[in-house]
Amino acid sequence: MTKTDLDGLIDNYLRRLDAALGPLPTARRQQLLTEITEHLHEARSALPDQTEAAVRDLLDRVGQPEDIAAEALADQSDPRRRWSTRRLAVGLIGLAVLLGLGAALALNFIGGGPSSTKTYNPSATTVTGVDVPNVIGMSTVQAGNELRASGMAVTTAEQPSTAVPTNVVISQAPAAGSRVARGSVVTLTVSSGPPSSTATSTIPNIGSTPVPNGIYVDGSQGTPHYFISLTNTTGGGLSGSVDFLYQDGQTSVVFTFEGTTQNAVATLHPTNIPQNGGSASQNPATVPSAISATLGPASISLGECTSYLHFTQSLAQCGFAYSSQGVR
Amino acid sequence: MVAGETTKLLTQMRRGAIEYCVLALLRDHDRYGFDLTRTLADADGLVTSEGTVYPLLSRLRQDGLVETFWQESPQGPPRRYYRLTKDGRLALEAFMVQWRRFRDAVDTLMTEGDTR
Repeated sequence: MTKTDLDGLIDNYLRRLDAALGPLPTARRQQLLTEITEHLHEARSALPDQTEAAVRDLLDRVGQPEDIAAEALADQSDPRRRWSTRRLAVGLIGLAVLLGLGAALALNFIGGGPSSTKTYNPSATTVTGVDVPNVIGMSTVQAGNELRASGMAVTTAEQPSTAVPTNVVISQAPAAGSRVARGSVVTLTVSSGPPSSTATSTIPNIGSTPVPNGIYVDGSQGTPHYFISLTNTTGGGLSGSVDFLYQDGQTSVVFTFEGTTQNAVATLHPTNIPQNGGSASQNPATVPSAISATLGPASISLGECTSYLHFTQSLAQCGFAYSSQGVR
Repeated sequence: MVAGETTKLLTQMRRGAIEYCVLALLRDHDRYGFDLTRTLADADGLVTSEGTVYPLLSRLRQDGLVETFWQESPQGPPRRYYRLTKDGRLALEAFMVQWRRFRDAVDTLMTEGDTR
């Protein structure tokens, strides 16, 4: 079996996975596809022998696309099933307390010893006030539930943010830890996502890098920069676009290329272009919601198609997502 | 208990604990996806396959318990690493305390049942 056939096996798997993940929102689907694609490349490069059996075994380990989709859809389709870890911890505390009590009672009963059952004070909340919990970083829904459960009312105000994903709490007033009267209103400032912009940007010239052209993305200060390196070759014309998606606390970048991708291979990698390094640096506030780039008579040129990102050579159009989180 | 019910029970128990197992794997050092998922998949009966860990990771990121960053790899392209956030560490610590109590309480009752 040739290397290309092995690529085909993996391509085929990814296509099945893509299809199985169909019901998910695009951004989430692409995030999972990207991460599993990365996983496959990593797993494959760790193989001692590039044989069909080894690749099939590798795919078996990754699992049936349907199983992965089922896991992803489990919390997607039924939000109630999706326990927030915070809630789970609270639930477990409750359960542990109950079990502890049960165990203590059972032991007393069995042993016939004197009762040593502790009295539990289930809540330290006084009638005069309640403590405001920290809900920063929670989704609006989670935060609302949390606050209401603690005896507070909630109002929200939206604010655009490139750093905080849509519908996630940026700040709260009063602050966490404040003691307020029961029924007090807590105001949440919630991200409405990146500021809308129709600005387009031409491909910046990344002066010091050894590639003639590139697209880079700067999410925020300290965020790894990404660029696609493009080498002018004798390939056909190619145009591409970059869209930013915000989800899961991530800045996802979706690249869509149209045109000739025959023999086209691409790499996208974070590179630490020096901050404030002239033209390569871009103020986060000005990151446009989309960058369109016409790459002219260029093909995306790089080592190996499957080395990092996946380009389907037979398709005129392909999309993929890349995501990262800012370094704070 | 019939086999089907055992499977169902295992699924439920797994569902409660698995996210914390992911957090626990990240407690001492950051890991990249392949390393993380393979370690989890190698633990007996925790996950059905390596791939099913990624939806979990996505959920943990959404909850702000885990975040990702890029790091150069000694060979090949840079890797996406996962690490605990401060909230993730707190959630893990809280879970560990409760988990031990829970486990001990169950174990105590189970052992009690054995000796009667």
